[in-house]
Amino acid sequence: MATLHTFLKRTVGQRLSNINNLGVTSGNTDSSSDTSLSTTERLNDQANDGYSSTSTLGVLSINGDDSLRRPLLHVHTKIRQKEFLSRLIHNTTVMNMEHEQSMNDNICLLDRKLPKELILRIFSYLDYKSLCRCAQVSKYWNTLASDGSNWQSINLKNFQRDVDGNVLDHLSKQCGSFLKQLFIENCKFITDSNMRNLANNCSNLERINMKHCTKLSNTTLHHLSKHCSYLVYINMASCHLIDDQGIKMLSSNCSNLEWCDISWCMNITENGIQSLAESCPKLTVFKAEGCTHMNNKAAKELAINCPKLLFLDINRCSSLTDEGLLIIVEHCTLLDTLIIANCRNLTDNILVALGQHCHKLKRLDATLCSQFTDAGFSALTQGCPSLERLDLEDCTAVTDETLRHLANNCPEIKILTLSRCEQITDEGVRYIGSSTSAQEKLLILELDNCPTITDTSIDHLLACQNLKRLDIFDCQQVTKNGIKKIQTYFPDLKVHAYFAPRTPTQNNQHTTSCPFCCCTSCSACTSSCCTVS
Amino acid sequence: MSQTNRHVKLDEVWAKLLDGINHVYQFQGMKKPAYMLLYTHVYDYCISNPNQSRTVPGTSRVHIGGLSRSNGQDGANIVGGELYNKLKNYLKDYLKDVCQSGVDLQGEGVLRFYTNRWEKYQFSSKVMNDFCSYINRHWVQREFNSGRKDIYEIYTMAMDSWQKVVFQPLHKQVTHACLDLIKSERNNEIINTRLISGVIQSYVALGFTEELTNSSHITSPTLTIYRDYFELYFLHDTEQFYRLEAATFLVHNSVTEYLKKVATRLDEEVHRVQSYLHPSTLSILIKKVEEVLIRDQLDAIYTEAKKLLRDERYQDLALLFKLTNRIPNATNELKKIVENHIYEMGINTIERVSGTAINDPKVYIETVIDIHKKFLKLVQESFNGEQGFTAALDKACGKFINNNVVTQSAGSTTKSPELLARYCDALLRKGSKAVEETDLEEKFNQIMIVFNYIEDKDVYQKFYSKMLAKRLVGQLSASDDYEESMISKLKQACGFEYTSKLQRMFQDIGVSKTLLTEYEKYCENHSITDTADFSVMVLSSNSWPFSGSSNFVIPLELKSTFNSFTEFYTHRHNGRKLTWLHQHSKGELQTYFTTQKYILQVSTYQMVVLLLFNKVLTWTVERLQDETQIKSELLLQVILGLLKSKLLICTDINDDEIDEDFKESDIKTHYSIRLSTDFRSKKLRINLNVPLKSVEQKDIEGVHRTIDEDRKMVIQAAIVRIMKARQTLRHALLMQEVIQQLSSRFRPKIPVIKKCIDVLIEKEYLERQSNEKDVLRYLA
Amino acid sequence: MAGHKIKLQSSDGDTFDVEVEIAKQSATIKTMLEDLGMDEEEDVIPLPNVNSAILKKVIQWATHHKDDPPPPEDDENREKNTNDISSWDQDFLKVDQGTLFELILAANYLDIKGLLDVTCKTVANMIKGKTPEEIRRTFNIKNDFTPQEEEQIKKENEWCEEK
Repeated sequence: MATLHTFLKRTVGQRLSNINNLGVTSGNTDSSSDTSLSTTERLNDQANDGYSSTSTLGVLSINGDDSLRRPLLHVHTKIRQKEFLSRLIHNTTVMNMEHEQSMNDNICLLDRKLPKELILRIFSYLDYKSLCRCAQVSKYWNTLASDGSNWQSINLKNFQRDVDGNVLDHLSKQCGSFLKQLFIENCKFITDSNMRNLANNCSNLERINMKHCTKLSNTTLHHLSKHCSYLVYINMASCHLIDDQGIKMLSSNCSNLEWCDISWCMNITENGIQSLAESCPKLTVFKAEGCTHMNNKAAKELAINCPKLLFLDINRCSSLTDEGLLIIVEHCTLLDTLIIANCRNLTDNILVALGQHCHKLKRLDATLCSQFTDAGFSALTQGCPSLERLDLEDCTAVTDETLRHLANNCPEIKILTLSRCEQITDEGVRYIGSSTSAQEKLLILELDNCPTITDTSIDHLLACQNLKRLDIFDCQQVTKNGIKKIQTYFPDLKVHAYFAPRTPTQNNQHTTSCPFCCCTSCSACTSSCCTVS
Repeated sequence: MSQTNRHVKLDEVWAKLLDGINHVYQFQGMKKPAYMLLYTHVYDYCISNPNQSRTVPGTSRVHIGGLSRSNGQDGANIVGGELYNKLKNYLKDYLKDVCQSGVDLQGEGVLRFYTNRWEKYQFSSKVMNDFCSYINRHWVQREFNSGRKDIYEIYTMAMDSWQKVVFQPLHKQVTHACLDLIKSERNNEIINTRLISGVIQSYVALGFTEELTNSSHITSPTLTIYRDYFELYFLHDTEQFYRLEAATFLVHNSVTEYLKKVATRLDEEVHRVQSYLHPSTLSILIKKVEEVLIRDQLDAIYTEAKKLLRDERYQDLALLFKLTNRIPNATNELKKIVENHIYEMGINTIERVSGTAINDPKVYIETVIDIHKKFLKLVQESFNGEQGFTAALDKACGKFINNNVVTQSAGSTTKSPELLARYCDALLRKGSKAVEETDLEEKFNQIMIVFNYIEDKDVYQKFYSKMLAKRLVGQLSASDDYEESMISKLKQACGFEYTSKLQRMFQDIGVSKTLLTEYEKYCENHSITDTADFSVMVLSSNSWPFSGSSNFVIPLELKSTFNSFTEFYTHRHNGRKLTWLHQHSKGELQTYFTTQKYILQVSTYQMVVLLLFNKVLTWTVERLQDETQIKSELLLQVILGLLKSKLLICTDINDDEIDEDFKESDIKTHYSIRLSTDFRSKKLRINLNVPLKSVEQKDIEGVHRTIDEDRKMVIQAAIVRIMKARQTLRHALLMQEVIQQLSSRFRPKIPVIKKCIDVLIEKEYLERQSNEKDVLRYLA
Repeated sequence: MAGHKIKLQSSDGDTFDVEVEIAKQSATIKTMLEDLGMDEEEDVIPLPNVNSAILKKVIQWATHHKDDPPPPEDDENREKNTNDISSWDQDFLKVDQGTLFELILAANYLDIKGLLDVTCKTVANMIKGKTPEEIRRTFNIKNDFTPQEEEQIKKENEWCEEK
């Protein structure tokens, strides 16, 4: 007990000096601080009678003026006082115990009552900012708030501008082996040396997103590979410095990789992709947008080594042809998402093969695959009944026939993009509008720049009850009345429409500011398009 | 202070716990208050004392250049590790004793010991795990989160300890004892399966593994222990046991008996897995048994299959098939055996009836149908109607139907379609014996079965259309409905084109009927009265397999009729040309020269000849020819028929010379023929219009002869069609496509196709590409 | 079995009759009943770490939540959402800090996950949005950093403050 008492005194004194340091009080002499000590104690004796929020009073009434104390008490409502009283009456035994304890112990009730594991559990509900503030409360709280168990998953995306190397160094030290996920997308100040510290300290890292961390190079991958063998997810998109050597090092030790994004890493060639594919047979997601070296040879390696592939993004991999992608389609039959936008060399053979092999396909992005025709889509839709999303922007050879097949064979379709499919007519939209599944499930339809679409299409779409967005800008034959009609049918539908200047706009307050608009209520609208609501 | 305090506290709490733990592991009952106290002891020990920990960083860390820093793991050192280790050590010691008492046991003894102790240990560990659960919830969870892979929940740790301390030294004995028991059971002894299932349950429970990746579950079950320490040996034992059994059993028993045994064995093994092994073993065990008992005995099984087929033991075959079908690809050989058997039986059966069958479509076709029926039953009953066996049946039937003794002795593969067509003809003609409609429908279906096997469907079509034509023209059809039904079946099988001619023939008859009534009206309107009682069928020449007939001078009696109809028709259908098909025409004449007036049914030719006798009673053959202009060959046949009917008499030969052997060539041009004025007959209606035998025979030969020519045209048409679509094509690919396109009609022979290509090149439909000789190009 | 009761005894000796189904929200009691069975009904289960007042509150909470679905497993990626406290629970937890902490302790001792979650969230909400100094005042914590230390700690943690 003796030790406890001295400890108490010391801490109380310390706190006062701290308060002095903080400049809350000024002009008080030593003697007055003595009196304030006594008042604080007295106050706390009362305050801690099970009504802890009054303890703040102890700090605030530091001037020692009793008269000041009373009005402060009155801040609290009468109800609270009643509560306080009733508690005194009903719960006397407890109150007495509390009373006795608080007589001797002025320190925080939370610290005193709760074991560390429970404080940590409380902390587990806190965001980074609150945790960082908790770390500044006291030494004890500093230890607990910095404890690695609170930092098993870190996402610094929202702090990208503020996070520098020191922050990451500090975090990796305090997280240690607890760290499982780290997202530092766009944190451009992070360097290889920070990543070395991270890898050294956090050997249990499983997921890392370092997209756009442009300073990082092969060295980072070297350290990750050396220490973090549990890595399953890595996003190194736009880390331009990384090349084959880095990929080779990474894949040599991280054979559990399931998710890998190397988009825009232009220095990675087919050799890098080959070693990745060979070492990581569990790969399910692979993204290589804009990788000009993602060629047929690389595709072949992926196909042979990674049969579990579910998601493949090869947007803008322009060197890829049918030969390479066909092997992937034949081997990776589990594929549910395939993004082959801007791969202009591809032909209908791909669609036919997808229909033959990849029956689970849910999403296909074929933007600007201008060699695709109705024949290909006919085969695709027959073999892939689970298609939910189809992007056919700029697939200029596509006609209404494709829409007929789609309406007949793909009952799950939710999002359909037909922008600039100039051969699509009202007849094609009729197929969609008259399919019972599309009537129920279609959410988004983009028909912009389909010049032959008229109001008849709008009428067909009135059957699609769940449509959330409709793009029909640059469809010059669609009239305002048509759009008004569908808007009255579905008030929540967002319609992106556009009217050429020649269409006379009616009296509308927005006409002056935006010549092409009839009105606007949608933030997604740019100057070239406009929402009618 | 904190360290020593902690130790004191550890010893204190351990002293309190030990009693309870001993209690639990000696399998004594426990009251709830006692349990709750144990839990509370652990809890009290583990919840970290805040005061202590507050002082720890302050006193034990040195402040150099600022703050002391901990790295993540021990920053908030959670209590529990020491107690965890104490528990671990306790279990180790406890289990060492357990192991010691079991190490010398063997057989059922060791099983009884192992399962008994295991079950109790498992329960005790569960209880201990639960009253120590506070350690699991905080300390173990934290260790796991920090990436440690060797810390488990207490229960799992207890399993791990058992695995290391008891299982490892004992598993050989235990597994061996299990396998011995299973062997006994296979030898039909009754065993205590509870002992085995207890062991299996233990092995399965011991298989757990730390997850390599982040997961909310610290451990997840795997079957590694069960697989590596039991299943492997079990499968090995199984293989040995059954290998021996197969070898010894087959020495004294037939393969069929053996297969019955195999079937029971397989059922037994399924039951075994279900009653005391892990379900994952089922597929792999059954596969092993199948390999040993079936796959390795396939040769014997195939031999048995041939025998069973011969003896027609279809039920045994069904079992044989069921078992063989369990082995991948093993039924392929079986299919071949079945195919060969059906083929041989087909060939042999036809050979037996070939003597009559060659000229008796009924015998031939019904024999074929019976064979098919019989083996279809086989395929359905013994082979579950499986597609592969249906295919074997089809292949065998196709082979023997298109090529057998009958077709060989006829010298052409087109005999079968001919006989089939004739069979149809017999059925569809008036007076066929199959009267019942359902019966006939059934017969049609059988015909279609045979038809589908026929390779030369074009030949069938030719014969069929010829006979249909005769039935239609001669009004010999039993029923229009039957005809239509048959045609629609053919259409179903071969498509519209195949039957289009047949259908048009059918239509022509209908059109002719209306035409005739219109003609009658026409006659009335134009007051044409000098015509004979007359009916006519107008047949479009494209559809009907008739060629123009030899003409003759139309007798006066018929002239006006002919003319008025021709005028009526050409008036209605300008530009159409009518050709009279005299050979298919007939008429009736009444005799006025006899006392009894007879009605003679005659062909037009006969009529022409007979009408001449209205002028003079005697004619020389030469004069008859002059008057009628009928081709002498035909005329002689007509005269011969009339001579035989005794209506005419040849004065230059004796009556008795006109017998069976008398041929038309025996009639010389200078012979004179006279009307038999004292003609007499029992019947009042005399049918003289019997088809000329020689004509019919020639017809059949003609069809066979024209087939090759016709086929060439069809092939050429196909080639042009294909090349028009493809523009250029390799020679070999073209061949393939031609064969494929024509397969529903007949099987074109490759040299014929080649010849046709050459013809087309000559006719400048195609050319060979100058740089690549085997590529053909279509010339528009 | 509905309405079947067990007796729970608080640290200060009071005995409470509680329906088994309600008591089973405590994983500690639930596993104990699983391990030892339900035969000896006369047993009184002592809970030496919970006093009567708190036990009463705990039973009140458990009775109100007896038909709740079992709370989800803890998961590192669970949402740090603290705004999903039901209004009943909010009212229930309008108590002084001492009681609140006692409830946390009891929930932890009895392993009642739902109660532990909601009480911890309540405390977390008392921390959220406050400056270090406000936190200290809320919980009466003494700042034991030296000025230099405080400066250093502040620097280390300022990255997540908006600028």
